[in-house]
Amino acid sequence: MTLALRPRRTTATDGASDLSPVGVHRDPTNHDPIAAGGFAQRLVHRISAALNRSTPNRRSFLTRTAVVGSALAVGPLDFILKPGTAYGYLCGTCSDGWTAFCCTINSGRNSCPAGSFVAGWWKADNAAYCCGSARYIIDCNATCPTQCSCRCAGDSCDGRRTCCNQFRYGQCHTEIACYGPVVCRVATCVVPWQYDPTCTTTSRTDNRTVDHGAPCLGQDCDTPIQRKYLSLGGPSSYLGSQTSAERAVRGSRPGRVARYERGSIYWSSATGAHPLWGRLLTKFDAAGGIGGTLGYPKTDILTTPDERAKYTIFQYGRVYSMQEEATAYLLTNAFASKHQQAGGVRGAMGYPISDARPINTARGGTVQTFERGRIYQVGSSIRQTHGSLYDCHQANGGVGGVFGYPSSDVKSSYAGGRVQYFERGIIWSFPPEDIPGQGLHGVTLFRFVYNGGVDPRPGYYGLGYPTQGTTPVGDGRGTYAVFQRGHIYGTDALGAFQVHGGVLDLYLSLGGPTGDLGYPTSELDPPSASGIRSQQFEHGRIDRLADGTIVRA
Amino acid sequence: MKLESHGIQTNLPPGWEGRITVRRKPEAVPGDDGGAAPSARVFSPEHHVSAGGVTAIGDATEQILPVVHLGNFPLPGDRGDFGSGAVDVMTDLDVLLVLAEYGPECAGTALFSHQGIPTRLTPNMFSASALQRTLPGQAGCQVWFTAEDRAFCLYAVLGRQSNARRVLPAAVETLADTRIQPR
Repeated sequence: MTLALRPRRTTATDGASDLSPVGVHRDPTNHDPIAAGGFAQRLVHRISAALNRSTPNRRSFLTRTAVVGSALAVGPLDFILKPGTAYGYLCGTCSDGWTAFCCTINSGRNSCPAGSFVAGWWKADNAAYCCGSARYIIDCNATCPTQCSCRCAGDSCDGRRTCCNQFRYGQCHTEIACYGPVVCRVATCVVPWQYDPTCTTTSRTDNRTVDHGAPCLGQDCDTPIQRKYLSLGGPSSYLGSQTSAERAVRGSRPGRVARYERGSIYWSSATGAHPLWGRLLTKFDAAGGIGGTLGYPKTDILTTPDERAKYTIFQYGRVYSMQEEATAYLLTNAFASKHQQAGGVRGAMGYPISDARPINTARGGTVQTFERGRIYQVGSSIRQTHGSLYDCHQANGGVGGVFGYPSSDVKSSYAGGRVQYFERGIIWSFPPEDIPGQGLHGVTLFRFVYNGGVDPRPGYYGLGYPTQGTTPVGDGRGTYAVFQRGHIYGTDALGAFQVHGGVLDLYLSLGGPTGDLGYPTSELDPPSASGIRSQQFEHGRIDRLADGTIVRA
Repeated sequence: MKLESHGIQTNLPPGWEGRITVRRKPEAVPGDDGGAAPSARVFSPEHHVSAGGVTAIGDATEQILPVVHLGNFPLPGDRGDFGSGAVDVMTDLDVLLVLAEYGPECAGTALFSHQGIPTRLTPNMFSASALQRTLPGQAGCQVWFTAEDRAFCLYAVLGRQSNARRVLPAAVETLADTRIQPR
């Protein structure tokens, strides 16, 4: 059924004068819409009246008028010209005296059609339509001059009248005096002064209308989406008024969705009903909506504890809408899980500052950047890095640098430190966290790990955490690394060896690897029978005598 | 017979009945989720105020204002504010008057710009279309007015439009005997 507001005939039959000076504000150009209505409408009224006169009992009268009206509403000529019963047309109720619902005559929209305005309302208590709460019926009266004619609404079960009843409840738009007939009725569980702010709160009640319905009028109580909408405040919520009827979502992710002025509510049996609006909705739509990356929302719109972001958790990810940046970022569930392992937005990584994006290396993969870290994915491997370890990795070229991709997440290490393994190296940090992370690779890493790393093997001198990662010596040959209690020097040809204690002091005084001795070629030997310990270098040896004296041999 | 309540006073002609009704104001209850409900629900028993009353279940913030029902026929107990239930049992010589008050924010607005209780009802003011629910033979009329800074709608229903000249004098007489006092 299309819009009800067909232009009315211009030959008004009433000819009534303007009664507005005495407080009668019916449209003076349409004083009696029924008399001016179409043939079928007038016939309904006359036949109903005739039946009324010949009927001793009002109850049977009402029954008859309903049947006649129903029949005429659906097929007036059939009813008049063909003998037989009218009971085949029971759906229509054109002569029950009430006005049709807006969704019947307004292309399914439960709202006032063009050419009408919200003019008043009443409520019916204990409405099953509204879960036992009050149901509100809002009248849409035609604006003056009336642009519609009295007629039956059509062939649906809601065959009631449209543009016939010159009646006004009067709580809304009281700045508009003149009114035409009621075009249609909006049914809602939302209080009218929230539905339309021009409506006052003065309540009128008519419980006889509690079960009036129409095929296009869903039972608000029966839809989780409608309940959610109402719980959020209905039209007065951020969502605003509903703009399209709730509809089913079919396909591999079945559910339902309803659209509103500033957002939508989605429902699935697995997730329940949840709203989306603003940047979260924009991001959701950009990700393919229900059928895309995220699936259905699993939560309402939430706020992070520090109120820097709004966020929604979806079936397959989550979206953060940053308040200060006016932008939103999407995390897939795999990335969100890693993020949560690191404490989420309040943890070591902080908030996302990008979406996941492809990595521009031969190996590829994706990366998502956070305020203090990143998450990398290559194939099925997903790793996070953050804090000073992340800083060190980035300072060394990131995944395209000497360390390559992370092969572990950030882990706890000896004595409160942290460690992360990469394809070609290891990065450590130790308390306090603000000391930059240091990474080892190549021969210096090999030696450090061989000797037990930060937690040395028995019999080995522990160097502690690296305080300066693997660094080129500058001679084009070797590298070195500095630790809390010693150094490691090495070349690819010679291998790497740690130097510590008094031996290191003397070695450095002699110029280190670029001095007279060159690179070390052995670890400090175990004590001999005489108590002397020796360490070999390319061009000499340093002994540690039994009395602790350090000498160049 | 004199009928007075909520600053509204009238004298009923012989054979007339009248009720001045204020439905019970609803009370707020929490929503299902334990939070504030957008449309607080109430569940209260039927409550009679003044000379009549009905069950009220709605929103706690709604204004419940008096509604006067006057008729020259027996008024059924279960009536809608604009006379549903009563209009269903009206016969050809019956007349129903409804005075429904609106909130003070309505007083003096365009719809309620007419000042004073209407005391002149003429047949040409009535229309078979001017009914909350059109019933064959009946005719209605709504008059919007402000009296003593109180906004009202007078809704008059005739059991049969063609009998307007016979029944309207009593209705006009009743209205002429009606007084509205300031709040």
